[in-house]
Amino acid sequence: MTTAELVKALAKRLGVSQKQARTLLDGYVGAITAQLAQKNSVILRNFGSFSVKDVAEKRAYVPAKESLCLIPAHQKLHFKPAKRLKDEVSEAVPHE
Amino acid sequence: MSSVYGQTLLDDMVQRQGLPMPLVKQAAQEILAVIREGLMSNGIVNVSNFGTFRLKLAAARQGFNPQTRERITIPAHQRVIFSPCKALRDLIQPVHHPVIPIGPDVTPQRTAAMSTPIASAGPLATKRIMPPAQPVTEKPETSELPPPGSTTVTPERRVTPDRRHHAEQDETETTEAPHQPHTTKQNAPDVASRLDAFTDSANAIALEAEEETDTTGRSKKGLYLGAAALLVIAAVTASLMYDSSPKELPAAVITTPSADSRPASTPLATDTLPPEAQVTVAAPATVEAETSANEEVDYSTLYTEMADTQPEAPLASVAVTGEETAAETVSETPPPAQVTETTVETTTEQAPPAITKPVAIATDKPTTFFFTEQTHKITNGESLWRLARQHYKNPLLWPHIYQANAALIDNPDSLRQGRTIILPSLQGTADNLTKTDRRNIAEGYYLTYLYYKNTGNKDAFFALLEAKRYDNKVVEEHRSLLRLSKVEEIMLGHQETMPF
Repeated sequence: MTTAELVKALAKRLGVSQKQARTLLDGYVGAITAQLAQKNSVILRNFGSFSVKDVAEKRAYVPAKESLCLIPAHQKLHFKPAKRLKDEVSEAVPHE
Repeated sequence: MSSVYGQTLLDDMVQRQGLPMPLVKQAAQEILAVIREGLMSNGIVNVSNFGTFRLKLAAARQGFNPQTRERITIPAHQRVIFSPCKALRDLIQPVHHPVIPIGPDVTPQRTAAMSTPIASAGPLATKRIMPPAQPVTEKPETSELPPPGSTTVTPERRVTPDRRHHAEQDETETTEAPHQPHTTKQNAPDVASRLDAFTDSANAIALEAEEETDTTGRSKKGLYLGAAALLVIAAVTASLMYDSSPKELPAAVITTPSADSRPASTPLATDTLPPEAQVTVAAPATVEAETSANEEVDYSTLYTEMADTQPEAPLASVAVTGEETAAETVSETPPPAQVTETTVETTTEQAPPAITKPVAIATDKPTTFFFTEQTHKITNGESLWRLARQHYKNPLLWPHIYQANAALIDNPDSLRQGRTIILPSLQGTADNLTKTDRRNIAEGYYLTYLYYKNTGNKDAFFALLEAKRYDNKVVEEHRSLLRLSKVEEIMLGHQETMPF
């Protein structure tokens, strides 16, 4: 599903134009991003939580450099789906 | 670093965009609902300037309840993964510190693993396959060796350690390339120490035999010299035997050909010994040429002979050589060893660049092979490595299968499901391969080398090293076609051939 499709579906549900829907989506995503930029966790009920995680320095083989490398400590974004989202999705999508 | 809930976001939106709260609230709900539904229907939802949500299948696995310590099966399920877009990643981690390579002296485990069946096979294979037994083929000479024979041979052989030493020095001087020398240096001391261990050992006969194989393997010149020396010994022993006891004649006759001295057309003729000895002494080099010519003609008889003698060959011969006991019992042991050697030579002559299948001939009469030929239909998830482990009890023998099915297998690393391949028979056990087995495996490794070379795999060379380890002749035959770098030449020179 592309962003355009998402916007279309959103516009239909909200009964607004696609342009407005796009503004709303951007505003919402922007609000999440602003919080994450401040390293705040964002918790969305029944959907999941975004948080910034610290990754410690480590050694790992880097294929591009063809050698063992020291990967410096850094931070990364982590998303943890809510139990309900997980269960719902898992039920809906077949998995053999 | 605090936690923020949905309401804060809504307040933020209202404040910034000046939109009515109910609309914003409903929009937030709907956005999440649409993403959820998109995941269910599509499995992937991309939100621009934010990231991508997608589903990933997690297979069922065994877990346990940490409270009750009860084993439970976690069923297969879908996981929701979010990968932030680059802009968001950069926002979280604005400065990317460079990744620092840690010097080349810390070898990444991956590089060894990448060449799994080939490079990493080295030490393991050596441990598992190499028997402490002495060379089988040299046995007749060494055990029968009379004092005069040994004196004639020793001065020439003493040269080899020096030569080896020189080669080592050259290697340490010339290795300057960034990655290759690393492995070279690792190999060199290993080889050297092993050789030292050999030289230190009090077992002089074993040493001689060992060096003999080395000289023959090292160069053509060495081969001729070694052959010449062996011819002399053979001739001497033969004449001695003939003089002393006419009853032991057959034994003497059979032992001589293993020195490459004897036309294969007369392996069973017992009366023709004296002319035989004369010929060998007269002109060793020419006789060898003749031998090869004659062998080509007569190999069929040899095969039948081999088929008869084969059953006891692997176990019996090694048991005796290991103990190095009776010089007189030689009359029983040499036939299998000698015959297998000659057969291999004949196949050598038969098989020019395009590699034929000597196995087929050998398996005509399946006697008590460790593994008898079978056909096998490839099913999902199978690999040569796995098949070899399953049927030959040693995964390192996988090139044996590859060699026999070279036409059917385009990529030795991945098999096509549904194809029927042949699992060739294995004459010796995994720990105790016969010469034919070794040759097939070496050819398999050589084919692997060619494949890797064509596909640009930089670990190709390790396959060649393995080929040499199993059977040097295979490498020597194709030596002229190989374009090896200087470092590779040196490495190849240091690769030991597995002793018999």
